[in-house]
Amino acid sequence: MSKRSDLLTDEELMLSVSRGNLDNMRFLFDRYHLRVYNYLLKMTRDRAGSQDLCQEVFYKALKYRESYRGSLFAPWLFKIAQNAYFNYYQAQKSKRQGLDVLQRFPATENPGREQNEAIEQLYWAIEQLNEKDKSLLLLNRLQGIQYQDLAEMVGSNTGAIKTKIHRIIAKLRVHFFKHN
Amino acid sequence: MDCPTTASLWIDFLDGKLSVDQAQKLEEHLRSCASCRLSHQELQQTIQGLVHLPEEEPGPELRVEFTAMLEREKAILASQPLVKAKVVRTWPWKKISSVAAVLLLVSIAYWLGKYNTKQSFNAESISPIESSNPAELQTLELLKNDLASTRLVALHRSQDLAKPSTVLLDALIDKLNFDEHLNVRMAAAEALAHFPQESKARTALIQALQEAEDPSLQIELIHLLVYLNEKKAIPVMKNLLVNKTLPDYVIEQVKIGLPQII
Repeated sequence: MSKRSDLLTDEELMLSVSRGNLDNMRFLFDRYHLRVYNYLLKMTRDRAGSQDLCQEVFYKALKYRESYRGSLFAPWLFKIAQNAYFNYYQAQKSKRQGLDVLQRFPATENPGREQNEAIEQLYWAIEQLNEKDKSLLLLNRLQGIQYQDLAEMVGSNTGAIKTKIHRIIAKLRVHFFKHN
Repeated sequence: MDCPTTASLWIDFLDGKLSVDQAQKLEEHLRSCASCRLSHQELQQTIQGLVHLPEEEPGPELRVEFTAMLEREKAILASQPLVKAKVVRTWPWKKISSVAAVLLLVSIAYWLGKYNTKQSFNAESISPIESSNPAELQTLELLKNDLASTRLVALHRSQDLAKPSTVLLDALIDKLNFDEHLNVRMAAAEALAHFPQESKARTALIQALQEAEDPSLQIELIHLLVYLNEKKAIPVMKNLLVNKTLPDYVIEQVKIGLPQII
């Protein structure tokens, strides 16, 4: 008897989706939509935009399902998410809107308290990074994508990616603590 | 020990990636060095701050839209076998001609193999144009069909093959460059993109982008090359940017796509 779908690994589910069992995408949506949405939200700081992009990511995962060859699912999905974000970013830029004129949500519901100020300051520090660095940092530190898988995602090697992420964290620390 | 000159060692330390021995040395150093204590503390707060950034739930409409999209895609997929069934029904002699084609190709392959064996005993040197996979031979046969819809089915089927032979790749490239129907040319591009491990397929996509004149095909090729993260397409895409005859919306796609190839 075959395994119940909800017990399958991400990779087994996606392989079955790629073979035409599209219903299994529901389980992957359940497991990943929060992560993808929150990655996009931190990249864009725009709730409605992140929701649209998140929808687009799962649509593309379905559309390109036959190109999935059984690699680790999370890096594969986040590569789609990253590309969707870069597309969005370029489109916003070319509309001459510039991301800084978009309505950004406040980092916390209740600003003013010390902890919330720290969060605001960390968001500010993240905003100082360029888009590619920001994405690498969030994928590694928030989404737990390992150096090795990031290296594969961006066509680099593990050592170089590790050094890069360490540099990004060092840069972030400077912004986080020294901007005043 | 001396003060570490980069943040890297501290980050490995905070990530728990150092050996016990290295970690002990750093801990000892921390006790005696105020400046490193500050670095360590700030990096720790930065890394922990990141991990503790608040998460949010998306609105319920995300799931509703996802479910609707999934149903649409399922409906599209369900409609595809009907196309295949129709092809078989409309052309009952197809199976017979496929068998004939198999026999013909096998005999050609045999003849070529025999011919090559005379020149060399190395089995690997036998011409790569032979194809022994029946599914592939059938696909090749369907690709020659006069009906564009049959050729589209063949292109769709070709994507199920794990590894295409040179013959099939050449046939796909031929459809991409010369088919009279735009839909078939676009489907051929998509079929080729399913074989990213084949440099011939990638090269053909780049070349097609260089030569394509139809904006829909250009956009499809740009999307596929970006999706494949094909660095060799960068010069061609840069050339498109300065091409005065291209429509704005194609240029726009290049502008969006180029920075994504990393």
